[in-house]
Amino acid sequence: MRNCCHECPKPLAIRARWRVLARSAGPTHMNPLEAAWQAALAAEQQAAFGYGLLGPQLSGAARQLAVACSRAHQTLIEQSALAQSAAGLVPVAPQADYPTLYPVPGPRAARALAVRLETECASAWRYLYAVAASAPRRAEAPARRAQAQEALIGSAVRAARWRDSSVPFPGI
Amino acid sequence: MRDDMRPESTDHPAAAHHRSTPSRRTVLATGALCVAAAGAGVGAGVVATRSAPRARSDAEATLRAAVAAERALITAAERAMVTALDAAAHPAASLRPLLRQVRADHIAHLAALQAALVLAGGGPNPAPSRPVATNRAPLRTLEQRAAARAAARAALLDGRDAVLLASIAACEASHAQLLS
Repeated sequence: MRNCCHECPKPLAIRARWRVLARSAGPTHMNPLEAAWQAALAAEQQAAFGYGLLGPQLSGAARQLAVACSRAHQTLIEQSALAQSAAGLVPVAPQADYPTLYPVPGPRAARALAVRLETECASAWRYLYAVAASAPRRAEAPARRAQAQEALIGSAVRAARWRDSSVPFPGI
Repeated sequence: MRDDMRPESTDHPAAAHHRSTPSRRTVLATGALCVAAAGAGVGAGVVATRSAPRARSDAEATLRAAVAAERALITAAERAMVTALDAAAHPAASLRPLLRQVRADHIAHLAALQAALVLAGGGPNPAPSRPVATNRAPLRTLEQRAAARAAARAALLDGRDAVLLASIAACEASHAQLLS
């Protein structure tokens, strides 16, 4: 696998990995559980992109928090994509751009965007949980519920850190 | 017309009848077999339809009991959390807004869980827990445990109750984070 340059070897590697994942799984008709899983992955991809936008607007501890959050989302993206591929699905590809996330003019906007990204991720994972909880007879439902619960908690905790307060029902 | 070219219908009617019609003994034996087979089928069906609902109702009763017990525990846990927050004696001024927020969240959880209980046909309301004096660190531990318990209970339920508990677990985990 080639690297695009010395400074940023990862983007090309990730793109190549996506291509491999997309090729390895054939086209399938998605059931609601699979569609919700893909939507959660798409929300995570948007969050990872969004942290790239908002990170440069922050400094100090807030910037460190943004880096940590970005890493958490990247990990979740990789895990979800691999799990979907193993399940015979084609993981949804990240968009080239997310115009609705712009502009991020300063630190306050950056924090607000971080809260929004985490809130949307929490909603997506809560939805996956709801779909899985409504289809308890599906063999894959318990695994999806466990994954969705963990991711929902992760997003709720990150949102609370950015907001410096909590909401009673994250994702709802 | 040659014999081998003659259709069978040109045979003698009595002979043809004798060839195509089974004997009385065969008819009786087949009839008896059919009746026996039908009876066995119906019997098996009756046994199946009687035992399946029994097994289903047993499982349902077990699940209902488990759900009721879980809901009672959840409500008790929520009340304990609220009581513990009320009992937090003179917390640092900076902690007060956070405790107020945490308390408000737990009251919202309690209301939602009680509404879920009513929707499900009602259950015994657990007695309020004894007040527990607490401060930041024990409260954080309490929240962490509550989050884990809520997530575990959510996994035992289905549908909207499960989603409610999953969300409550996430909220309690965020409380633990804010209290750290």
